Amino acid sequence: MSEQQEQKKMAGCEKFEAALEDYASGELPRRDAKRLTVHLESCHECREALEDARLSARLVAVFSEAVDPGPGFTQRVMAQIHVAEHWVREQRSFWRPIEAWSWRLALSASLALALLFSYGLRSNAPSAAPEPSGVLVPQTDAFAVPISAPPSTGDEVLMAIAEKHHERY
Amino acid sequence: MDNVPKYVAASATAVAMTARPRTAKPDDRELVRAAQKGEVVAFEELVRRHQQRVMAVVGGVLRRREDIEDVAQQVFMKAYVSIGRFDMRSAFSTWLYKIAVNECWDYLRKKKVRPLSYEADLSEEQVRHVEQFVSTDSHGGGNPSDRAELREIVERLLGELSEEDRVMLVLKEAQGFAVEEIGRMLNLNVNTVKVRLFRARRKLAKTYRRRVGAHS
Repeated sequence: MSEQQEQKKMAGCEKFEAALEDYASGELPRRDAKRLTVHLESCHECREALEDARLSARLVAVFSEAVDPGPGFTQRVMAQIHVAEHWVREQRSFWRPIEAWSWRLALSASLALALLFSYGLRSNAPSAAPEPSGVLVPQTDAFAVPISAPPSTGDEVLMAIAEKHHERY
Repeated sequence: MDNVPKYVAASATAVAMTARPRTAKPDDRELVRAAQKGEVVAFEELVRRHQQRVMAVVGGVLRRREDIEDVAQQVFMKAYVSIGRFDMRSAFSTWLYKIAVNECWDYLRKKKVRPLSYEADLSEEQVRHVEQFVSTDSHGGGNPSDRAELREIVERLLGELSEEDRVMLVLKEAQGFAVEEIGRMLNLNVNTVKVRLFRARRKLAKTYRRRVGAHS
């Protein structure tokens, strides 16, 4: 039988899948079981499916050997819990003083910041007026043309005196 | 009870437990309530009651026996840590098995364990062994090495199923969990579990016939 034919035939029996599962495990109510038994007599596919279910149940039974936790399992679990709880307590006792002091530290830090800020505002207030700074002086000197260069010869000295005299009168 | 030190409260519970008549053991809900108040003795009793079934769930999902106990211990650790959040809307066992299944998936994901899906031929000896097992009512051979070999062969056949289908089948057939319990563990509708179980069985049987039946 081709796979397509098989699928088509099985499609009609899909409604029995859940019931077959219960039937295989002996959990199907008697009335439904009777109805299914009648169906099984006429349906080769469902009979085969039931055989498959039983075969696989047999195969999987190989894992049925109980995994024994052993006598000390509970003690091991409880010991682990005690260790974990002890660790948590230790962690808490380490952080608790820091937690207790943290708000005070935060408060002191914010106070210090506020003080620094207000000090900064006050010290900046007088220097707010524009004023030639020391840095600008060499810049102006560098670009300023001297009104009068210092006299270097005797003639220049005489010329400078004459100019001053002329300016005065 | 709030002002009583934990160890006093715990011993009070222990005394109360031992003072009860043997027939009237505290049920899971009472023990859970006590454990939620921090009574370690109550949790210890819950571990004692459920360890076998938790091992069965973990054993149904994990393959390596040496991993099973480690993961089962982790399951109880997680349950202890989160028992305060357990709202008792389901049975304690259902909640615990759900933790167990999730813990197993996490473990497999972390270890990157892939399903065994190699198609290597089974030896004549292996075929004979598994056929003998199927045709008899034995539990897999007399000695542990025979059982281990059988488990390995069936594990190879199961490798063709999806991980969830494999787990469903093992929990149902090998560990004896009810379909309803499996549904709750895997968050699946009961009917879905039944249909998937049935299809998984058929697939396993077909794989068996292809790989074992072909030899004989």
